[in-house]
Amino acid sequence: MSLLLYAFADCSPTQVTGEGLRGRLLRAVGDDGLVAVVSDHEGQLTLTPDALWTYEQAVELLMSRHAVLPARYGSTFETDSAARDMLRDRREELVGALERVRGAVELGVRVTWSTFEVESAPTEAEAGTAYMLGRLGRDRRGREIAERVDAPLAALARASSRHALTCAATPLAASYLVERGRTNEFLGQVHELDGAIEEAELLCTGPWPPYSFVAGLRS
Amino acid sequence: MVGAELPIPVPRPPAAAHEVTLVDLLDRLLHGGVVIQGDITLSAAEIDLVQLDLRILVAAVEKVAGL
Repeated sequence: MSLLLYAFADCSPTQVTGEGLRGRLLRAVGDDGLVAVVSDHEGQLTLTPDALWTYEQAVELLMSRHAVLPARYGSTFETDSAARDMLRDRREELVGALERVRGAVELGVRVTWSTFEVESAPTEAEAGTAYMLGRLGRDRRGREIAERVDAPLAALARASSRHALTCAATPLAASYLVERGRTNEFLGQVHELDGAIEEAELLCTGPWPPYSFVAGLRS
Repeated sequence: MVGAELPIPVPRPPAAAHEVTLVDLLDRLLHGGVVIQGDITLSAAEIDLVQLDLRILVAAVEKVAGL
């Protein structure tokens, strides 16, 4: 039996309620002001959409009431004692990280080309300068669009993070840490950019717990 | 922040929205968040996969692009 970690939160143990994976009750390890929210778990974790959404919903419920540092899926403690050790040894770091995300949510923005065809290798007739110029032109336009979208959105956010895993169809995938009181303003800016850029579409998802803004917190 | 109003995502066709949101979920849960142990091993179909996240994301994003 181990403890599956969902998040660190700034609440008292009695404020942790609800269920996590496999219907197990969520509980807290720690003291008032900083707890690790866990559920008892045995065996390996499965990677299914249902399990991921169950996990995410548990973290989002916490986020609706408290500042949280969400854990990477699959993070576990062997025992309650191990969790308490981490809370004690890294209290200052965890409290500082909670302060950085307090009152804000993560909003994701993905830009995709409105029309995109997966390219095959050029034919012998197509190969050469014309093909390469076409590719370079699209890549340059992709970078221009990414900058045009990212700059005004980053200005509305406390912090921003571009995702490394993008592909030819997606000029930009990024996350923004946005004050709760500015989320409608942020969405309005996304709508405006979506309307202004004809060849691409913007999708905004969230609010997410601040998964992208807890970098550096690892054992 | 009890009672704080949360935003509604920009509307998309239902199928496309679901696929893209799952990609975003995978990206965050498997790449983001606090890490408290070095190696996280997840099991899918009884196969231990450490690099599962990258393969799923690549496949999922390409699929979305084709919608």
